[in-house]
Amino acid sequence: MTQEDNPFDELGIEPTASPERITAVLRERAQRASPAERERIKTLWRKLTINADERVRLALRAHPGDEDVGSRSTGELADLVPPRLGRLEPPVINATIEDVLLDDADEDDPPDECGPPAAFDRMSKLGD
Amino acid sequence: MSKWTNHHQALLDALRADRIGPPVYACVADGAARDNMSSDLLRDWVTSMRADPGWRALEHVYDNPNAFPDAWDRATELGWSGRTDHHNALFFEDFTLDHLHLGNIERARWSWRHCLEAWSRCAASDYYRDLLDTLSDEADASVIAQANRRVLEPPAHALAEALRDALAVESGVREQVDADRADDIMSLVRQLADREPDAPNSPLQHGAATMREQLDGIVRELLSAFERAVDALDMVDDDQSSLLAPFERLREQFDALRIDDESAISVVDTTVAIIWKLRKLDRPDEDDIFVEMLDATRPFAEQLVRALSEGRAMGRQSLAADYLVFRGEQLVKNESIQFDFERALELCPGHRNASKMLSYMRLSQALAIISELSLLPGPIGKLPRVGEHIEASIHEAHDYVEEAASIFPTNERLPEYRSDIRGLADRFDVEL
Repeated sequence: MTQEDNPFDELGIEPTASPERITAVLRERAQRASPAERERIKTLWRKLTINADERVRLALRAHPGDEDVGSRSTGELADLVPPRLGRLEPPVINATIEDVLLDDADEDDPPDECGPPAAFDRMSKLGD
Repeated sequence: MSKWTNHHQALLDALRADRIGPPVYACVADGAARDNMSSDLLRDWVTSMRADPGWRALEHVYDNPNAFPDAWDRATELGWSGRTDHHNALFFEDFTLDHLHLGNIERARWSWRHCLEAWSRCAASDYYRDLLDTLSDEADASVIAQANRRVLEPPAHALAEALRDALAVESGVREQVDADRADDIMSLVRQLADREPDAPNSPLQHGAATMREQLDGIVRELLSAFERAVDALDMVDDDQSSLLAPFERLREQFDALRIDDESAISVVDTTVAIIWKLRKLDRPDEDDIFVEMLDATRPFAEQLVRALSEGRAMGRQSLAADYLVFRGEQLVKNESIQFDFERALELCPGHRNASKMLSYMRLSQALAIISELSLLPGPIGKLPRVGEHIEASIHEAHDYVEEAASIFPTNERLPEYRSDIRGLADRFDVEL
């Protein structure tokens, strides 16, 4: 047994949409539709806009919906989520360790040769 | 760290709904689920449900078919919002008709109950009032009111069409009445048509009225078809089965339906008229025909008698009495015959045929006693206890004959019976 197909449910349009809104949505869809689909859209457009009695009756018998959410895929919804700052790509670093170590070096006063602190000698002796 | 926005929430709700929606829909639908159910619809439904108290009964069992339908009943008791109930009403309407089509009548009844209750709650909610207000921005108040009245027309019409099919209202489409299916469909029809009055001008109130109108229309169609079929009969040449066919079909069709006063009057009238016509033809098989015809139409006669005893169907007393006399004539002698003649006289005092038949009944009862006593030798009346019994029997027979005389004074058999009783009284020395 078949129940009547509700155009609001079929098209994913909010039942409270005005005739103007319905027309705008369907015009946009018709532009992307095949000829057969375009005829179907035209039939549904007439049903929803020409006869106010029928439109309101169908609206009361349509499932409640939220166009902003219901008809979007999860991918489309994810694209609407604002990005976090941490996602920004880090800058490319071309420096070496030597650059880091000598970054503040004074050419006229070069640092001492790197080596372990004296405590290591004492500790070695203690460890004997 | 960025703040939680509406977009985050929308994405999270959508992901949850897409995960929860299909299994909970399948569990509630229980075999009536549509393969191409829109994920958009499910998403809004689930998002709305999860914000309602009822969700507490479902959140841990929503994907467990064994927990349903009890889990849904419990959830409904906890409560749904108007928006959820709007979804529920539409889903359960689909489930009802699909289960009916599949032959799952118990599940159809359960679904229909939930559909009607959801509509009732939804229509009384602030959500629905807001919806009507929003729609009224683009339409007149009269348009809104008219649309509100017609909300339940589609399922009412669908059930009426299913009932027409089961009752074979249009012959040629289906020949045989499917009585079991008609019974099943009527149980759904009555759930709506007999519903206690809802709020004035609510969709359910108007839906119940629509259902009753559809049912009345079906009854009128059946009666019209019956009358056409009877008019088309050839009472001279048609065989017994052809003459009885319209009556048997009518009985099958009305087994599931409630017989109202108008139907009762129409059928009894048609039946009495055709019996009068057949009697004039003096067919050799008329008794067999009459018995079947009267048996098939008895529920209608009983409704007519009930209506008359409750003060309705005024002016139809003679019609009812004619029917009862015809029936009394055809039945084997037993208590029910007498009951019919007595009822006929109660309904229509002075009804000639009923008086005559009841008078003859009394004479028959007297005859039974006379016959018995005639076999006894006279001297046996001298024995003490036997004599008392004989005296009592003669008095009883005498009372029957006098009652027959009071009911129908011109009964031509009265002198003969009175003579027989006098003879017995003399023989056994009983004073009358």
